[in-house]
Amino acid sequence: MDRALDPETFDGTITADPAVRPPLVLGDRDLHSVTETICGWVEKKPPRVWLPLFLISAATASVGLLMILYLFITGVGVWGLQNPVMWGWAIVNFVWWVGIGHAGTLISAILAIFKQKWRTSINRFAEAMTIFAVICAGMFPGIHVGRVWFAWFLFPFPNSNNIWQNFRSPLLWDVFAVGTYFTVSLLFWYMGMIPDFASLRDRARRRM
Amino acid sequence: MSTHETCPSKKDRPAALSRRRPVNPATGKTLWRSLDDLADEPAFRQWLEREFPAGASELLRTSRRSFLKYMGASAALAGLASMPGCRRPDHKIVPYNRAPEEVIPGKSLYYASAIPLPGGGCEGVLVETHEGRPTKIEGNPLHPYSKGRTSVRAQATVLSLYDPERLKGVTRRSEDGGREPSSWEEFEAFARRHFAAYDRTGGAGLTFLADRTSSLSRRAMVARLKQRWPQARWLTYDPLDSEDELTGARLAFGGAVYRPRHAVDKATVVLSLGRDFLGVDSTLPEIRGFAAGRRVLATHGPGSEMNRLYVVESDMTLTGFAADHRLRLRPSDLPAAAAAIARAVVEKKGGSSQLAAALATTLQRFADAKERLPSEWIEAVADDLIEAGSRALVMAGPGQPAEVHALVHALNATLGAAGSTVVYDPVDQDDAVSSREIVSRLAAEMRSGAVKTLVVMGCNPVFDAPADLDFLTAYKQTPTTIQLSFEDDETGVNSTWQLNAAHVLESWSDVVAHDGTPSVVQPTIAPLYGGKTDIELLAILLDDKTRDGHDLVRRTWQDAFASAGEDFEKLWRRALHDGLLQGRARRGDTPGVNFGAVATALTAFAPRRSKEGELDVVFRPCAKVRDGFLANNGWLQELPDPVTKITWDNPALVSPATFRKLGLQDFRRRIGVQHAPTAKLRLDGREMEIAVWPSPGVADDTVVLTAGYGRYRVGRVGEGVGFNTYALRTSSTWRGGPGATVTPVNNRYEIATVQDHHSLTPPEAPDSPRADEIMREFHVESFRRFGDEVVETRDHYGRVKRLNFAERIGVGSHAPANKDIYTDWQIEARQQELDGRHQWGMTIDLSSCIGCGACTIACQAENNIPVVGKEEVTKGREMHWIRVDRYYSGGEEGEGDVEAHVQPIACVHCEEAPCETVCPVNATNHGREGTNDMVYNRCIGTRYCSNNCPYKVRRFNFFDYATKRYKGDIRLLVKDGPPEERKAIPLPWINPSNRHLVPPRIRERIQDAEKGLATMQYNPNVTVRSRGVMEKCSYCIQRIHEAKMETKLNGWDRIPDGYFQTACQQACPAEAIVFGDKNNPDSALSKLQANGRAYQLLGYLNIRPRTMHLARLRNRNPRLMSQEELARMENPFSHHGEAEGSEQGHDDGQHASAGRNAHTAAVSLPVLGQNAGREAAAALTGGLA
Repeated sequence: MDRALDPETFDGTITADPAVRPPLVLGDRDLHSVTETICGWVEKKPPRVWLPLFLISAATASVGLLMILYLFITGVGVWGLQNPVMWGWAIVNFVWWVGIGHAGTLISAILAIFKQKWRTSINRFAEAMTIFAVICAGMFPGIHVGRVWFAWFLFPFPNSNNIWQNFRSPLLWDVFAVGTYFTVSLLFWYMGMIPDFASLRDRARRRM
Repeated sequence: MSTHETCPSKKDRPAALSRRRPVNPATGKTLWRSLDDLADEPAFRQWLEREFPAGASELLRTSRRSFLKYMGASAALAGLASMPGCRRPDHKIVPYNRAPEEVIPGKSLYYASAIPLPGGGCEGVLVETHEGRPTKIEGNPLHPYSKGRTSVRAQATVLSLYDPERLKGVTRRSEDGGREPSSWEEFEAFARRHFAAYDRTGGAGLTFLADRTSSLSRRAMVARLKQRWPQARWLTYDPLDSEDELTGARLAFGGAVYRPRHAVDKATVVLSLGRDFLGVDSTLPEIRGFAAGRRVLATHGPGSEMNRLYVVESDMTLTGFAADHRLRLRPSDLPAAAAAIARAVVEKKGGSSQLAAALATTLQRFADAKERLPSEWIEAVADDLIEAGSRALVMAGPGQPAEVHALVHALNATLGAAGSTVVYDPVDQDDAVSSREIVSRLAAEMRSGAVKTLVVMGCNPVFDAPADLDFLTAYKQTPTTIQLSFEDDETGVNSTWQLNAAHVLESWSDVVAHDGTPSVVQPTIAPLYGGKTDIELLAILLDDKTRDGHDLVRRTWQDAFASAGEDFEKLWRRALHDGLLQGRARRGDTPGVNFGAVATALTAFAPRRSKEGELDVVFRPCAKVRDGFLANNGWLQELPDPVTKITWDNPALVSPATFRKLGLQDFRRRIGVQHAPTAKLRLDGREMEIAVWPSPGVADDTVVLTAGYGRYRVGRVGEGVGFNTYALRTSSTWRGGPGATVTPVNNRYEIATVQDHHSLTPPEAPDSPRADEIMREFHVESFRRFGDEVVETRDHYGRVKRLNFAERIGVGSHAPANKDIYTDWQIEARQQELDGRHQWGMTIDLSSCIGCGACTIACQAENNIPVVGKEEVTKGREMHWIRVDRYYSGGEEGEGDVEAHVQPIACVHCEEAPCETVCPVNATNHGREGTNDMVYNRCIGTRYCSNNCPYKVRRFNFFDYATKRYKGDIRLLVKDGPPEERKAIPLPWINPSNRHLVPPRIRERIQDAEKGLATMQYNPNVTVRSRGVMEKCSYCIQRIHEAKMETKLNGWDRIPDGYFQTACQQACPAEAIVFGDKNNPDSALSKLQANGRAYQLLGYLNIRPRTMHLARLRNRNPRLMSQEELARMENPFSHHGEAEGSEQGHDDGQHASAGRNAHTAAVSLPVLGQNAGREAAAALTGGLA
């Protein structure tokens, strides 16, 4: 570790030789203390402010769920749509959340391209952001259709009527695109977290 | 503005028209949909583009409290595991134990019947029944009035039969003054006692008030009544009759009362003085005759002649829409125009000199109006009329004074039209008395106590009698009042006995048609609630031994038509089968006109006229609900008014200039949802607050009031809809009158108008087509000259295109780049898929279409289209599959003289349908016979198809419209009571029970509430769509399949041309819609599509619509046309000339690159004859040249 420290400043932030990468962990830390820090968040009790914040978020989310329930029971007219403006808020939300998801992917992708090894710490939440954004994005086209209970018609699967989807429809490819995006992001997220899961497993005091 | 000023080459055009609003090269017109469209203000553009029209979501208007309430309700519903939308409703099917004769499940039966018209006459109809349920009304092809066509009202009648709120039983006034249920047995017992007492006095104090109908059986019953009680009075009443028409006839014909019957089909020049013979005053033969004279298909020889229509009127009407020349005059000036034209005719033709002198006197009295009468116009009309001679026709509107009616009779006699284009029928003695007089005298007699018992049948005088009579108080004072009514109405609820009448589809009756043909009214279903007809009630009152309706009618017919040499049974059965007795039509009389009497009357004619600053009021029936008796009919309420395009309402109409002058606040452009300001309207000492709507084309300083709204007891649908204009109508202002004042109040009142809905020409979309390409119009002379020409041109891709007459002015002739959305190989591939034996198509003739909306209602009845209610209409969610678009042209800012154009549009069944490409689940597909089909049970409601439809013809079930009552169970707080209290009716904007708040899902269910009554109207061959499903015109595919089955059973090769009709085609009184097989070169459709007038709407997109429109032709008088108009008539295509020096005619700048060669390089192939035209059409529609 000492090799990488700059003789002039010794704080590790600036190196004289650009070929030498600065150390990612500074100060009086070793692998154990890093593991302690990271796993500690999972193992210790949440701070006091967590519960109220969680409750507020949950309440907001449940209002959203109630709204969706109201939508299901009443009909998609509650979106305030009309002819010829047949798509409104739901599609705005879809695009918005896909954008958020792309931001997460972009962050990890740029770091991956530039081979920044410290990206593993960023990847976790960037990909988490992508995953949850894509879930939100995928939800809106689903709930905006007129007959939600038949939304599964959008997925190709063998059926006795031999009715297939219309593969010329851009909307169908949206379904595939979002599905693929979600799957890949999930895998990416999971792969990055395998070492963490291993550490946590090793530190666990008992089986869950 | 004049067409000159809208010339595209003119640099200093008014600001409102400056933005890309091009002019039609053939007509020199700029078309606009509404005043907002014309003004094109940013706010309006914003409204068109707005994603959420104001108030589109109920939640936005919900207060916190009600929000929580509905949340709770929603959660409760979910908690109860209902989630009703996710389940299919349970249905039990019970088969016939013993099937009735002739009934084959799934096969409809048709019965010939007739629907009496208010005021006399009838429409001959065929009633379609499914397993004993009448579901649809169609015209009776044998009937001289209908000839297989129907009016809007006849179509809607079937819905009223199943009105869940119709009067279901007998009620009587209880001891405490309330109502208590009773029965027909109790009433009969009462009647036997009560009416026997009148035998002693000969019926003194006994009065009958009935609607005006021409029923033979009723006349027979009335004769018996008069025989039994000679002192009893029999009165007939129609709130909208025209006493002036009667008086005018009496004046002209020396005391005899005749009503004119017009043969418009024989006329070449028609002058209408305020008579809306295509709209509210229309009869089917008049519409049919007029349309026949407009349907020019040949360029030369027979069939190339076109009639010419001049209209002088005060309000904008469908007749004004159809006019070739229209003169807009306020009502008090209109007689002056009549007199001026008459004088010109009489002087030139050499008619009665006495009359000419009298007309000169009359005109002097109208000297101040002279400046408003264009002398050139008057002269041209007079010359045209004289030239047409016996083929001219002049008619006067029911709102015109008696002297004008008399003058028109004299004019027709002078021209020689009497006996040719107009014949006269004598008016029944009972009906020859003014209703106003009858009801005024009756009210006075009731108040004096002279009337002991009043029997009211088929009318509702408490609601519609003149307001100054205070009919209700008089009615309540009368000891015994009995009303027979189909509805639980204002009169019935104040009667001693309220008796439920049978619907016309449940009745045995008979009625004489307009030409004297006796027609049978026969029931198609047993009375649902045991109602009785007027003749059955009279039989009860007279204690007749024959009580049954059938026996009564048969007895009348036996008396009237049985002759010695003929088997009556055979005649009767024939009549039941045909619905009428053939060969009994009257030819019509031609009574001699007493010119001296007419001249005397005209000399004395000095009507009261408005002073400076006062307005004239025109009082007219509603085009849909007429006097209000069909107010509880949701189809009619939701049908856009053919002129104003307003649904569910009757605001007062004024011209845009008067609207501005009165200082009314223009809410329309500021808020998304259309609002009208209110104003206090004062006429003859009475006042009411009413919403005021600017309607282009209405005469200045004129207020048009529409009757039939503001019913306060009729049922959930009709109650509290619109304004009760009868409250303003007194016996001295029976047909409106001068001297009205308007004081702005400027409260906001919501108006549900569809005029800007589904616009094909949104002003801001840069690629949107021009209105004049959508609605094409030519002078008939241009068509005669160029109609057979076919021009070859090359499009951007180098393909040869052959353009017929109508296509030469569209974008198609310009062949812009990047407009084709399909490539050649795609189209060829699709052509191979269209391998069905039949290839269906449709044409809509814009020349004969009058815009009445019968197609819309017929489609609604045939295809189970739901009613959505006023709030949903304001959000642009009306469900009509076929709509009638309206465009205006001309008028400075819409304030001057405007012309109107109508165009019905339904799904055009594109061969390369853009909707089919985008549906992810394959729910909309192409049939092998070229229909664009919807698979409702595959549709999940992504609405992508609608987004991609360039015609905006797809309709979406945003809520469960089909099974829910749209107003929920919240009744409006409308006060019942006398006219004074009626004023206290809370206006809707302060109504505490806000109907917006009831989400349709938790509204009252129709089935639960009424045990499925309302669903009995449904056509079993058409799916009732659930919420979340897209729907649209199917070309009546159920009828196609029915015809196919019958074809197969008959062993025919193919469905013969004209074997069946679509619902819209079947109803169209103008016969403007033709449906048929494109594969059959001899079908009427193929011939029409090969006509030079046929063009494809948005054809340049290369989506190949199967419905084609036939360009509108007009026959303007060259004498009254500007130089520019004449030049356009000479060459409708020369819009590229250097002289105009402008590129305005081109929306794509294509000419900038192609230069003038775009058209001049085209090979002109002047070919005569139909074949070339057909080839051209084949090239256009069938394949690539």
